[in-house]
Amino acid sequence: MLLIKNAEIHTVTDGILERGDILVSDGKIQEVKEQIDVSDLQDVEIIDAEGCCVLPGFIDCHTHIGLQNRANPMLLGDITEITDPVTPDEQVIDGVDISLKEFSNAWKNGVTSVGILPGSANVINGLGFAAKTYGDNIYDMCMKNPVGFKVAFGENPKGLYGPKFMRPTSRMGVITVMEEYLYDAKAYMDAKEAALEKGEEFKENPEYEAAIPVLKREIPIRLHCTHNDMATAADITKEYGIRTVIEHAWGADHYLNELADVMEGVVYGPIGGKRTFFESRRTDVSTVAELDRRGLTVAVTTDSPILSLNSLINMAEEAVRQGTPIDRAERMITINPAKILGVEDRVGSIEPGKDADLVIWKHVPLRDMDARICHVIGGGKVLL
Amino acid sequence: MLIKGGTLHIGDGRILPDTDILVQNGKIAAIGTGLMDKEVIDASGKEVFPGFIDAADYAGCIDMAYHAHDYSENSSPVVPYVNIKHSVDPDEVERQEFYKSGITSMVMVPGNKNVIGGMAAVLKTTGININQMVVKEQAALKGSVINTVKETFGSRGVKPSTRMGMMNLLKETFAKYQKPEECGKLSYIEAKNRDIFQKVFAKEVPFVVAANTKAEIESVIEGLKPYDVKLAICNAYQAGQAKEAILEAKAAVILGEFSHMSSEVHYDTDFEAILELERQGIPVAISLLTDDNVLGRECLFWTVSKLKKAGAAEEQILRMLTVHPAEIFGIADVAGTLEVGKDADIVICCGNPIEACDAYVTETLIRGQMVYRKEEAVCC
Amino acid sequence: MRLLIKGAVVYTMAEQGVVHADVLVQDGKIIAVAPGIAPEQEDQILHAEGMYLLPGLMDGHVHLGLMDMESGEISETTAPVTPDMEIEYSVDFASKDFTYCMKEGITSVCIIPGSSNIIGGKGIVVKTNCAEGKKEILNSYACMKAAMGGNPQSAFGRRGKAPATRMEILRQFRAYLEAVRLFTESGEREITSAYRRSELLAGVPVLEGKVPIKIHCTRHDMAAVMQVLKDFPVKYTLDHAWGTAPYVDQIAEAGCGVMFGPAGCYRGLGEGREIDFRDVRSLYEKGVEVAMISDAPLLSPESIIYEAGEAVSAGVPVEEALKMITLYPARWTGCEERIGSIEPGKDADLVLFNGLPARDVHARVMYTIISGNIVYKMMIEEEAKKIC
Repeated sequence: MLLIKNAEIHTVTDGILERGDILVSDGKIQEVKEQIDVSDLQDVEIIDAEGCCVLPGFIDCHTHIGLQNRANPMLLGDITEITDPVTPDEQVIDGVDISLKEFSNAWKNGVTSVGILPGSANVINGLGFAAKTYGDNIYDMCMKNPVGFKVAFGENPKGLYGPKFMRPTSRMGVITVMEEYLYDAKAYMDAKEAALEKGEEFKENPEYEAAIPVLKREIPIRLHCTHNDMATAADITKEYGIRTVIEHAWGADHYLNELADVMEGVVYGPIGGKRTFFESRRTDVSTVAELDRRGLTVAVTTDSPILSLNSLINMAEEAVRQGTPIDRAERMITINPAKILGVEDRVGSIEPGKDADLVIWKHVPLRDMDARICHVIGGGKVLL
Repeated sequence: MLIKGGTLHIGDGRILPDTDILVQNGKIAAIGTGLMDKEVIDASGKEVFPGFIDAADYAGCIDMAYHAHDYSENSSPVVPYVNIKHSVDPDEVERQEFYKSGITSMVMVPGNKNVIGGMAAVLKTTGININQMVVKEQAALKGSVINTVKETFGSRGVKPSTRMGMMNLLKETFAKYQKPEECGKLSYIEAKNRDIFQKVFAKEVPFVVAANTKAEIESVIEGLKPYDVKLAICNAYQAGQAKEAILEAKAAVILGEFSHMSSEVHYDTDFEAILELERQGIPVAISLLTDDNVLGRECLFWTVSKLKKAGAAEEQILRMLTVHPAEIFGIADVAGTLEVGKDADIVICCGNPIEACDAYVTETLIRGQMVYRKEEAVCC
Repeated sequence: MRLLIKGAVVYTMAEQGVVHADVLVQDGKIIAVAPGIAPEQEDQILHAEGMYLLPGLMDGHVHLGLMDMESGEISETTAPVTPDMEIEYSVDFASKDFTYCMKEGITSVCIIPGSSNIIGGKGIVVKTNCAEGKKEILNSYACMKAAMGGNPQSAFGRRGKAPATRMEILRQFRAYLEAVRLFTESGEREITSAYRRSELLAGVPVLEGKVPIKIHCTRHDMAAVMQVLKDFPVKYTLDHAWGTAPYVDQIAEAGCGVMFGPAGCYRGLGEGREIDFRDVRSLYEKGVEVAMISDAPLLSPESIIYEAGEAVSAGVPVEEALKMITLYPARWTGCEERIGSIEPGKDADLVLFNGLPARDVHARVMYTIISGNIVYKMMIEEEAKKIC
């Protein structure tokens, strides 16, 4: 058992408790209130957090960690199966190497949960999952799989297949690859249901099986999408009635209406890249405040390993600097990414019953520039 | 907003001196004299035109660093199913500053690399959001039978590598989608192509095909004779030489750009004959498209100069810049002339750019918004 | 036999300015420009009432006759500095491009090597009737071609050879001029650099200020090259000169010429992103001599006329704009003594238009005359008159 005493508690979902205690046992948060009396209990480890504040562990719902060993550039990365523009049934979890330092770097910097997705080199890239960043076995660390179906519009698939003269060679070609897959998958699903209803035998095709949770709205598509592609994304989302989360979302300031109408969420970033003429040229973090105001579930991302996970907090800080209220920015790295991953019942806020992924800070993150981590608690254990 | 006291070139041949235009909600609300409004642009002594239309272009589908070739899905020579709208980057369209030359609408077409290259769209030339720029989506099906197709596919050992190969693919595709029911179960792409060809066969949209030489123009017209479609020949450098065929097929003509020397064929353009075609009722429009490139906004008026040299009348040129392209692409209800109810795409000039080199655009309005105003305008 | 052109409005581009006068031509030269010249019996008379007579137009920067670009006729890309290359040997003088130029009133062109090399070699000025078998080279060393920026960078840097950066281009450019200076100071005897003798000899007239350097440069490259050339007593032109706006004063101070264009290109990134005719007007206002170029075959040659028109639209007076396609290109390619204006003693390279180019959109060539011979006639005279 663990008791954190006298802390300023940022519950995220239920405001700030100016001074209070958190009781943790069996890896879960048991109680959160002004004063918890543990005199009756035995073996209670107590952390006196006087003058500190406690936040839930941060979450980055869009990463590719454990998939590319940057220390050995000779190795081919495991982010995307770059042999075919359509690889829907790839399970990214099967490629993750947790011995890479990205994981410990994550929790040491307060990021205790991540979404790990396939990359965006293909149009249809496969299935991503949600995991803790601490642990010994990725299948144990996994909270939920699959959590999203990764699709990419734009430059990446085109840049990979275009030079080989394979479809797609253009942005408009990318769209048709996606549309064709959804159309065929829907036809497959309808045929399957009809066959099952009649009790007929049906030969399953894993390529289309992967899309069924998407078409049934069980998981969202996680769509790499920037600029004018958002107009198309809105059309397709409406047409197929699917749930769509827009990833990266550079240039979203010009498509606010399209996004607010139909999208489930927006994962903005990474920011801090240089403004070149490619997709990230119109990076403008003030957009997240406006998206949030319009009721979208907004998260920010490092796209790690594009940026390291230790800069996740900087993304949120920058959002604050560009006009997002602190409490809203806090949500963008806690409960909102948890919702996007569909694990908001387990992580993302400080509530009884949730996983005890807690970070104790000296000074207040997103408010004070000198905020630093004192303790990281993962699954009820003091990791740091 | 009121544009006061200008000389209006309506577009249908009428010229109204000292007349006002009242703009409301992005539309032309009234044309007349003595109109009143709070916000006034003084156009007295100036010439006022309907916004000019660049009838074929793919600016914005090449990225600014020329890395992207989004104007052509060249994984296959026949790709009717792609939609150029999905390739347009509004920032790059904006970068071309079309409105400085009075160009308010453009027809965004897939490039000339594919025998059938996809669907074209009519766009306004400014805007930050593609949906707001669209005047008409799916405005035409675009094809090409010029050398660029052969260079793209033949060089990889993929059909077509010859002119007969291009014509073969073109005819085969038209034949297939005229009777799609004979093909058995259609794939997604085939079904999408069928829907597009239904529009072409119903003459809802034109088939715009790039053909440079007399031979290419005549081949296309001959090859598509069995099909009742609205045909428009673009690039069309030797449309004059292929006059009879064009008149017989009632095909429209969209002239390509003439300053780009990649296409030597334009040395032989017979402008007098092209003007004669126009007088005989063939819609003739002007564009910035070349064989495998597009040029800058100025060049539209460089082509005007060539037509003037061949003896074109002012109203004839104005039709080519406005009424004809509007008619070819079915947007005459919103663009092409200065008439009540149409979009307030209005160009105000100091001097007449169709007559004089020293004329220049002082203001450009798109849907009633002033998108350009020349700061140092001193004239009139 | 003499040729008398009667009754045209003559844009002389010389002291006389614009006059209503007759022009008398004999043995390929202009011998008189005056009103009411009485014809002699044998004289051929060209009735040009209502027409405009201009000196033959000139484009000071083209790569015509080198159309077979794929075989690499345009630049000798085996080394970045090739000053002794003579473009004359690469040109196909029978190319129909030249015939096309005559039709459009362009009577001389300066043909130069491409811009893949830092120093590309010698350019020539030739009359465009060369395709008719009368190759007349006005200046066999009209300029030394040089290039800054992206072209040499990509031509060599991508192959892993120097230059890969803009700074290396400037370094090599300066090093070559230094080498020529040392060579000259030694009385053309000692070679203290890695350059061959003929390469250094090519640079001697450049350093003597007799042959201008023709420098492909845009934007900040202009500032850099002007800085380097402060140390050398050379004449030069800044060619293309897109994005001039911030450097107008510097250019005026340097006393160099500018060859502007081609304009009318797609606005991409890189060198061509700022094409603005207001720059031409600013340069003109500061007294800089600007010539319009088509860079043919990049744009077709007659584009220079449209470019002059764009300059007028931007506020340059018509006469000045016309000098940009006649007198100034002639001056900056060392041909001013022969062509560029209508004055007694100059070559009879003349063009008659039915309107004033750069002012009237409909202006088209009625006659082109090279060395006193009518080389292009739009149609028979009566019809020509009707159009006027």
